Order: sequence, then structure tokens, then C-alpha cells
Amino acid sequence: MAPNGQGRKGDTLLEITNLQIQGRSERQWHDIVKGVDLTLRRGEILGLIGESGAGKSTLGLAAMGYTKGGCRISGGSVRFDGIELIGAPAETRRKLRGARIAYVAQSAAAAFNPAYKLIDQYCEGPVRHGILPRKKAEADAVQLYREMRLPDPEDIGFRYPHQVSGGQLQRAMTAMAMSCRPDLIIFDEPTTALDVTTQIEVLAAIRAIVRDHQTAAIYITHDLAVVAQMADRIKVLLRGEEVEEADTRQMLAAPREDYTRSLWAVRDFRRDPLPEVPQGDTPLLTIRGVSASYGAVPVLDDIDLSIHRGRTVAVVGESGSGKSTTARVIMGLLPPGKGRIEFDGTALAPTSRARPRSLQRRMQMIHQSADTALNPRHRIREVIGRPLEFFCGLRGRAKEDRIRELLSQIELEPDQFIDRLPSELSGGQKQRVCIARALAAEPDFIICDEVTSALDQLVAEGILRLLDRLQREMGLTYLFITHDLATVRSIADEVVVMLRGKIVEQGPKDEIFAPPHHDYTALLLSSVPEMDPDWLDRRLAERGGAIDLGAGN
Amino acid sequence: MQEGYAGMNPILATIMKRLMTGLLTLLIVTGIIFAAVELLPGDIATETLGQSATPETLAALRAELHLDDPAIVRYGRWLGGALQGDFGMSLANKRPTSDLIAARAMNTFFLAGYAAAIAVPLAVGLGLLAALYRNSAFDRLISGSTLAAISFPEYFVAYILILVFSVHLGWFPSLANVEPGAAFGHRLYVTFLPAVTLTLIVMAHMMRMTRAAIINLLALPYIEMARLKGMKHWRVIAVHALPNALAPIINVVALNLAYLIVGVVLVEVVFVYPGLGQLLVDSVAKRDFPVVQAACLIFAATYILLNLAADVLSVISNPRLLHPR
Amino acid sequence: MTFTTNRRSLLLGVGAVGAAASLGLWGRPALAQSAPSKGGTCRIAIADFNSAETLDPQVNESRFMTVLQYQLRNSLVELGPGGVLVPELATEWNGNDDSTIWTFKLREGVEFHNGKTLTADDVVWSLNLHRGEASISMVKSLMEQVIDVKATAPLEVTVTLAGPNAGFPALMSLFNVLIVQAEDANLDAGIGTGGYVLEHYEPGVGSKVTRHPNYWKEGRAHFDAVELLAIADVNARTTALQTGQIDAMNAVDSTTADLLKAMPNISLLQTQGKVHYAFSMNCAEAPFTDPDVRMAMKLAIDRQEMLDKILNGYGSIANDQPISSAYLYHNTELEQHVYDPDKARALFKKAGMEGATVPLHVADSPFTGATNMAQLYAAQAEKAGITIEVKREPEDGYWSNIWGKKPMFATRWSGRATEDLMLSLAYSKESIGDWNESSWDNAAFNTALVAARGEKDEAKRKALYWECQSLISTDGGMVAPIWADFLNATSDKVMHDEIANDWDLDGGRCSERWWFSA
Repeated sequence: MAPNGQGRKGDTLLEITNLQIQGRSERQWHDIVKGVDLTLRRGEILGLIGESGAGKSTLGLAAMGYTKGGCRISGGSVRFDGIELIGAPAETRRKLRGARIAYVAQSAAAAFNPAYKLIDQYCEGPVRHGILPRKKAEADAVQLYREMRLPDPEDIGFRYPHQVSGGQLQRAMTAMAMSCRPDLIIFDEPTTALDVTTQIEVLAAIRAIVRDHQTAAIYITHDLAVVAQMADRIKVLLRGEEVEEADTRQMLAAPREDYTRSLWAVRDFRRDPLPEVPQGDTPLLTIRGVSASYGAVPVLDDIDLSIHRGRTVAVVGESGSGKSTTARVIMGLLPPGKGRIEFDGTALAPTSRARPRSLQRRMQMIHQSADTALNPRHRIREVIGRPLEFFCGLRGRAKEDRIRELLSQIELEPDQFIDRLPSELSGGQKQRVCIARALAAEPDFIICDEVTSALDQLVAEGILRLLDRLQREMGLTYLFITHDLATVRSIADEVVVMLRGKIVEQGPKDEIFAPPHHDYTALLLSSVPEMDPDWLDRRLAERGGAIDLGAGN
Repeated sequence: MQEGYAGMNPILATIMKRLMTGLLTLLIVTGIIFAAVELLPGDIATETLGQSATPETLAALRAELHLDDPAIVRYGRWLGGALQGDFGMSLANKRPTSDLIAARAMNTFFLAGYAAAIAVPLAVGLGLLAALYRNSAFDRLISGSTLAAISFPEYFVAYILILVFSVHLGWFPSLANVEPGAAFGHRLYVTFLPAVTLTLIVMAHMMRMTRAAIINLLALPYIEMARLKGMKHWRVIAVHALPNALAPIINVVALNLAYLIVGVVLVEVVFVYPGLGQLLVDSVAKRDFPVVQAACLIFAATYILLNLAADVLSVISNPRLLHPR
Repeated sequence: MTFTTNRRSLLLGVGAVGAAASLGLWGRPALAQSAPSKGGTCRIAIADFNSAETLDPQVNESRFMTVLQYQLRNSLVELGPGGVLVPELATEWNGNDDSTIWTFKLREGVEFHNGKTLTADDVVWSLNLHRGEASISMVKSLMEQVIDVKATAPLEVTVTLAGPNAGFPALMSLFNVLIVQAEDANLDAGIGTGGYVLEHYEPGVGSKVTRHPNYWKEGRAHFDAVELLAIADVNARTTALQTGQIDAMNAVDSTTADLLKAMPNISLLQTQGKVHYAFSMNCAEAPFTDPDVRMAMKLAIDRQEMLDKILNGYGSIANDQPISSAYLYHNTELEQHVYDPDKARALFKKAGMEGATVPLHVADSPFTGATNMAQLYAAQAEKAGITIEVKREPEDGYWSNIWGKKPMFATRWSGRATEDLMLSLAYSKESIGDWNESSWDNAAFNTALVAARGEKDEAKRKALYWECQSLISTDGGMVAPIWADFLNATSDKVMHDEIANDWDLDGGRCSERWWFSA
């Protein structure tokens, strides 16, 4: 099947000039994209990079002549293969979508319709756009599934989305985007939700298929290392405006703008190393031989773990490895099937209800999603005030003073923030409030469950620095759960690597990150993208094309 | 997941579980109804003889009907019979309860089914259209008019329909007094106005739920994906959104079908339709416990079965439950 | 003289007298101008019915069952317009000198629907249904005076009474006292000697009957078939009549009667009957033991306003006694009580009741509008300085818990076949604690009532019954302000002779008396 467009590689495919997009909130129109220019040639891949709120996705969708609900294009021009999309009839734009410009969304699990089999959703485009009859589209799907290196390409299409793993879904979605052999695909953070070991395979598959079919692409991401592997050129956006644009290698080697440089520098945060734990020091928390299960499904298998006072232990692993379950068992939210947990020398009851309040107070937890962890109707005063009343019995003036003190500690100006609602805070500010809430109980031990995963890198770094400072000032002990190895490098003293409910390796950070590694740790470490455009090629070459290694999940 | 059910089909497991709780519910219902009828002042003897009751006639009637036995004995006797499928005789007219109720119950179900056959497709269809053209004049028109229809009392809607279609236009009869053995077509004709009345009463709720359920989905990524695949607007709504909105729609449909059964009682007086309602009212007034009990059991069982059907359909409409990993 | 000519001349005679008086009262003086024509299916909608009723005449109460039973079965005696007794299954009856033994001669060759011929045994069995320990009959108390029923010839039945009763034959016209087959084990099959044969009866829904080809009564049962429809809702009845789905209905709503009257092709049949709406006081309980209080209550009610507002004028003013002009011996010279607040106030004060409150218990069970009537009464009595506190009671169980139990309550009487039945039932000493709802015990009345029962002289009986009415009106415990007319409606093609006034729908016998215009 020939590509839709008739042009040759190198011709201009997409030309966006002075594009302006507005979004409506609080009954007012705000600028989201403020006069961006963009040119894309056939077969070229452009990386769009920036923090959340930069307008990357909005710009990507605008390339399809599409805006999300509550947004409008207020000016500029989008020409696709000579067709002006702004102001074009809806029907003209509809016919282009899917057929000549396709879209790959961030979460394939959410973007596949749960009610239909994969192949039905694959065939819908070609059949409805009148490109292929159903039978041929099915055969084509199998072909593309194979190209995307999906297991069982003959049969996988006949599964429902929930029966397929995240990484496979993301590849199936890329195959679906290719179904009409479009001239352009918009990839909107396609690997952000994936584990690193899965990400590398998806990246390889996407890159291969786009190159093989000479499809142009706009690749949107916040991850520089990822975009370095994928893009020919990179454009950096900040609050709806272009910061700079350059060829990938040039951009990586010599970013012109300060903002770009600051993005590049995010991963440099390293905590000062702590002195060795003295011999004979009793750990604050000890876990011995703990196993747990959800119903009949085993999730933790014989976990041993100890955490010394004032230290940070990072637990890393892919989703499903049992990281968060470990946290739940420690907090008494999931009673272990067997094993023993000791805190400060005393054995902990299996459920939090059975533990004395004084013990509950000393162990706190901060969650990944600050959005759902905060009651949207409670003001900050109330959010922080509740644990103060519950655990410390503070009332009135004393409580108010303590709230203000805590806000100062998390670097939020008390007068400005104390009466705000969560909806009036940014993501990083919300996470800070969650930290303050945990601190209100005056704990010794805090579990941080992916606390920076949902945040932009600059913001995440701020949170990490804050946690580090608090640890030093108060002697806190952290159990840090994350899938991000960069975070581990920044903040951990000790590292625990988990895989399928078991601990495969644990020890001081420097030992874990230095060879020799356990096989899995090696895979994990080697899967983290690096800021080197040749990283992916090198890794693939090392693995000898054994791309499906460990990807079956 | 599957180990727990020991290979049992999840739909079958759901059905079994619900049927068991349903039967238990029915048992409790019989106890409550019996107690309630007992608590009402007077008994079948005083209510049958009414103004002309004398101590002698009362005693004679009570002896004839075994009302002198303790309440628990009478309940036990009834329950024993009911468990063997014998719902006893009407105390008032000594006809078998099953004979008395069967024809009326069928009539009630017929009319409810008729109304449902009109109302459900119409409500879901209009709900889809309203979602498709949301915030348009069309949307506001049908939302407004269906709301207006439920704001009026049932009998008012019925009278308006009678006035227009019976009295002025003469298209349909105002009496829906179907005779036993009437032809199906004739039944449909004479019960048309009550069916339309019921339709108007239950439609708004289902229509608005359909609309809301669809609109709730419209912001979801897979709906946006369907648009970005260049699918037509109606296809996005009907093919991509509707199947995923089925669970809430099925639930509200089940709720309304249950209401329809009760709704028949409300319109049967106006249209003189021989359903269960009048029988139930008379039987309560006469303290005719076996008939009250049987009629209430039919209502309760219908409600339980409708909910069961809704649950099963919800499972079937959800691939996650139908095709576990 | 054959019965037919006898009955016809009698009907015409009474009709001629009655017509002048009642021309304005009936919607249309649709008297027989030519011989009735046969044929057609008459559909009649009836408001008063109950899903629980069977064809066992012992416990029939509703209008629906009266009409249905009169289609299927006959009585010994028929009650004609004006309360005249007409021979039905009994061709003649005679009492002995002191009216304690009554002999009924039965009609020859009367056939039941199953072909069996009527004999004295059938009549004996039918009458005995209402007697004895095990009887659940609604007229059981009335039949207690009977000490023996015997077949004295193949077509003769002799009834022996415990005491004299010159009015006993009228008892044989009650709609519960129907003649069925002896030893009929399945009364629900509807076998009788009536003009129509049962096709089907579904309690609370409707019934259908077809003409009995061998009906003995000539000039009756003109329709090929009659369908009864149980329709509780007055709008549904009205619409059905308006759209031609039924031919006749009872219980027209008095508030919409004017509209119905104005409709083309529809006739309103207004009949003054024996129905009275009333409030009863318990004369054995303070403060109603004092006759002055009772009279004060009677003078504190504005009868005209009640007639206008409760019945929309479709009735007439009553005088606190139950014998209406529909009875033979209606007292036409009784002084009419009128609304007199001043006098009422004075009487109330004289009884030492000044400032007292009278509770009045009411629900709409006795008649629609009872609650409104009570509130209206309270407002009227207020002007006489009498405070009536209206207590609303639940409709369900009203007859068991309120009626006859509270000191003052709403009531309704539909009347009885004769003066004796009405007065014995509701006012006699014997009936206290039973049907004598006001527990009124008046020696002069009790003497007069018993005397009238045994009195064979017409003029003397009349005098005695007039005295009874006077005593009830002045001394009794009932405040009866209005007579409610029967309001029926038919399509214009329904024809009839003079309408009987004991019950509505032509005394319940419309099915055999009415016909369609040719």
C-alpha cells in the first residue's frame, strides 16, 4: 500500500505559522499557544519538548486541525500538504484525520475503546475512510502487528484492550495509527506511562516503523533522553512560546537558551553522602520474611528489609513488582500473610487499627497523586490542621501557629496559602502540602510513594531538595518508592530492587549502581535512556535485536 | 481471579448469588406483608360485612375462614402452601388466588411490556440524539418536554391524552378494558393510550440518563481518539460511546421498568384497565391476606428479577467482566 | 286479569300521576310511547364495585352486584317505582289476621337457566340461606323474626314470624333475598330465573350476560346482551359515555352534571331516592343525651347551603328523618327545620353548653364530600356560638372504628324497601348497639313502630308512620340536611319507563327494564 500523499521525501508537509490557541477557564479566554511557527518535511521527525503547560499537546492536536473542548484557535495558519486547516469545513478536516494525519495518545489503555477488540479498532479507520475492505484491513493489521514486534500477531488483535499489557497496547496503537498509512503521526508522550524496560522496546518499534514507512512525525515528550533517540530536530516550548529549535545533536551539545540548559541540568541533583551507619545500630524498621497476597494472588514473597534511622532507602522496580504493596504492608493497610515487622524495637500489629495511635503518628505516608490525596473542599488550614488535632491535640492559637510553621518549612508563604483550596495550587505546591500534612504528625518515618512521578522535572527536583533538607533538619527516615532510577541516584542511601514480588538485590546505592549487577538490575539500568542520540542504537546492538526480552508481561 | 470461582462462569455465579438473596428477600417480604395486614384495624370479616356486621355474622364468617387461629399459625399455614406452589384461596370470594391474580398480572405485565417496548428505544434514541446535538434547540426541546411530562401527575397526562385522542379525534378508545382472549392486535389498539401515558412518565428519566451517560464519556481519551481517527459524529456517539454507557443506562432502564409495573396501577384506574392495582387495593381494604400477599410477591419478584437482569446485562456489556484476562 | 296487564296498568297509572310532579326533575320524560324494541348489547358502567364480591347473594353489597344479580335472578316480590310492591316469583301473598303467618303462592312454570323448574323447595332453601347460626347474610338480623319457612304445597311457601309484621312481604324484595336453586353448591355459577344468563363475571372488572330465551316475564329483558363494566373513576365513566364506548353509567359527579346535561346525545337521569347524608349523635352519651343540644345542632345547619355546595343542587332539603317522598308513607306535613343560629344558640346555652366544643369525626367513606360538609357545618354552627371540631379519620376501617363508635360522626343511608325496614333497622330499641347508630331509645316511637307493623288499616298505618317521622325529626339523634338524588346518565338511544327510586339504575333493574330505541 502506498502512502496517502503523493509528495517526495523532503517536501514540506506541514507548515504552521503564528499559531495562537486560547483555552477557557474561569469564564475567560487565556492564551495557551502564543504565536508558534513550525515546519515539518515529509519523513522528518520533530521532537516537541517542554514542561507541563508548555502547550506541546495543544500544538500537536492543532496540527490535525483539532482542539480539545474549551479551546479555540484564535489566529495563525496550519497548512497540511497545501490544505489550510484553520477555517476549513469540519468535513474536510475529519477526512484528513486518521487517514492522512494520525494520533498516538499517551495512555493506550485509556485511548483504546474498552468495548471493542483491538483489530476492530484497527480496521475502523481504513474501512470507514474507504481505504481498505475489512478483510484486507485485518490482514494488514496482522502485518503491522508483526512489524511492531507484538507477540502472537495473528491472534493479539482478537483480544480486548484490558487483556493486553501496557507496552503491547502502546505498540498496537502505533500500528493502528499506521493503519491508513498516514503522512504524519502525532505521538503524544507515547511512552511516558511505561516502565523503562518496556519503554525501550516501544521506542525501538516506533522508530523502526516510522522510518520504514517514511512517515513524518511530531514526537511530544517531556523526557529529553527519549526525544534524543527519536527526533531529527527538537523544538523547545515554554508557556506556549518557542524557546529554541535545532537539530537534535546540536541542541544536545550546545543549547543556546538558559531555559534549555536548566532542563538539561535537572538530572544533576545529587545529595551529599551520609556517613556510614555505625556498627551495631538498631534499624528503625525491620521487615523479616514478609509475604502477602491479594486474595489468592501472591504479591510479596519473603521480603527482608531494614531501614536505619535518618537514612533513605529507595525501592525500585517496574509496575507490579510489589513496591507499593510493601508500603501498604508496612502501613498496616494490607495484613501480611506471614512474616514480622518491627518498628523501633517493637513488633507492629498487622493492621493499622490494631496499632496504638502513638505508633500511627510516627509513621506517615505521602502518595503519588496529590490531586486525589487532598479533599478538594478543604482549605489548606483544614488539611494540615486535622492531623494536628488528631495526633497532637492542638487547638486554636497553638494549632494556627503550627500550621504556619509547617507552611514555612515547606517553603510556602503562610499568609498567601493558608486559606487556599487545593484547586488554587500547582502540582508541586499540592505535593508540598501533602508533605506538610505528613510532617504535622511529627513522624520519625515517612513512606514516599512515587511522590515526584507526576511532576515536571524542575518541580520534582524542588521536592527532592525539600525532602532532603527536612531529613537533615529533623532526622527523618524515608522509604522512597519509585520507578525512576534518576530519582534513586539523587536521593537514596540504600537501594532495594524488586521484581515480581521479590527482592532481587539490595545494598548501598553505590554498590547497586556499580557492576557487577544482578541480571535484572543490569537490564533496568541499561534501559534508562541517556542524553545521547546514539544510545538506543547502541543498546539495541548490545542486545542483538533481542527486543522482546522480558517484555511479555 | 479465576481460581476463586473454581471455574464457574462469572455470570452464572452472579445469577446464583442474586437469586438466593432474591428468594430470601421474598420470604422477608411475605412476613412484613402479613404483619402489616395484621396490624390494620379490622379483619376480613368486619370489612366484608361492613355496616351490616353483627357479632353473630362476624363469628360465623370468622369460623368459616379460620380467622380464630393465632396469627403465626395462619402465616405458617399460608407459607407451607406457598412453598408448594399453592397460594391459597381468596378469603373474600373463595376463588383460588392464582386464578384471581394470573389474568390480572398478565394484563399488568402486558401493558408494562408494551409501554417499555415504546419507551426504552425511544428514550435511548432521543437520549443519543440529545447527546449528539447537545445544547442545541433540539436538545433543550426534548429535555424540556420530557421534564414537563413527568412534572404532571400520571392521571393528568392520561386525561390530556384521552381528551385529545379519544374525545376530540376519536382515534383510540378511552377504555382499555381488554377481555380475556382478545386478539393481540386489538389489545395493542385498546391499550395504546395507557401505554403512551406510561411511556411519557418513564421516558424522561431514561432519556436524561442516556444523555448524561453519553456526555460523561465524551471527554474520555478513547472518545477523543475516535474523533482523531476521523470518525463521524454520530458514529462516535452511537458506536464508541453508547456501548460503554450501557451499564448506567441498563440500570436506569431496569429501575424504570420496575416503576412501570407500579405505574400501571396508577393509570389503570383512569383507563379502566384490569390490572393488579385495583385488585390489590380492594384486597387490602378487605384484609384479604392471601391475595395481598400474592400480588405483593409478584411486584417484589418482578423488581428482583429486573435488577438481576440489569446486573447480568451489565456484565455482558462489559468486556472486562465477560472476558477476564 | 293476567299479571302483564295488571302490571302495565299499574305502571301507567303511577306514571301518569308522577309525571306531572317530576317533569322538571328527570332529564327527559322518556315514557313508553310505543312497545319496547328488542336487541342490542347494552354496556353499563358502574362506579360501586368490589373485587372481592362473589355471586353469593348473602354478602352482596355493591351496586355492581345488585345490577348483576337482578340480571340473573328474581325475588319473590319486585319493588316498583314509588315503593309499590309488584308480584315477581310470588304471584300473590296473604297474611293471617295478626300478620304473623304469611303465605306466598309461587308462579307456575318458571325455568332456571339450567332448565330446572322453580318449586317451593328452591324458595325455602333460598330464604333459609339468611337464617341460622352459620349464615353470614347481610340481612340475617332482619330475618331473625322468621321462626319457620315451609313448603306447604309444590308452589306455596308459608313463613311464620315471631311477631306481627304487616310489612313483611316488602322484605322479600330486598336485593339479598334472591331465589336460587335448592342445594346450589356453586352460587358463583350465577344460575337463577332471571332474564339473562351469565357468560362471564370477573370480580372488580366486569361481567357479560346474554338474554335467557325462556324468560318467564313478558315485556322485560329487551337487550340481546348486557355488559357491566366496573369503572371507579368518574372521568373514565363520563368519557366512555361521551365517546360511545358505553350506553349508561351511574354515579354522575354532581359538580359536572351540568356539563353532561349540556352534551348532545346524552341524557341525565335524576331520581329522588332515599339517600340521605347526615351526621349522627350518640343519644346515650353526653352532651347528646340532652334533647335541647340535639335540636340546637339541627338548627345550626344551613340546609340550602349544603344542597348548593355539596350536591350542586342535585338533591333536596331533608328534615332530620329518613323517610323520603320515595316511600309510601312520607310525612308531607312535618314542620321543616330551618337554619336559625339565634335559636340554636339559645338552646345550646340553655343546656349549659356555652363555649363547649363538639368533636365531629369524619372521613369521605360514607359519601364523597363528607369532610367538606363537616367543615361547612362547623362554619355555620360557629354563627350559633357552637364550636364543632372536625376530626379527620382514615377512610380505611371507618365503618369498623368510627361509625357508631364516636359521639358524633358522618353517616349515609341509602334507604330500605319499606318504612318498617328503615325504621326498625336504624331507630328501634332492638337495634341499639347494632344498626341504631345514634343509640336513640324513644318509648313513644318504639310503641308506634310495633303498632304500625301489625296494623292492617291503611289510614291508621299512615298516621303511625307519620308520628314516627315526627318523633325522629324532633327528638332523634340525626342531623340530616339533604337528600341526594341518584344521578345516572345514558346515551339518547336508551329508552325507559318511569324510573324506580329505591336504588339508582332504575332500582338496579335497568337491565331488564330498559331498551334501545329502534
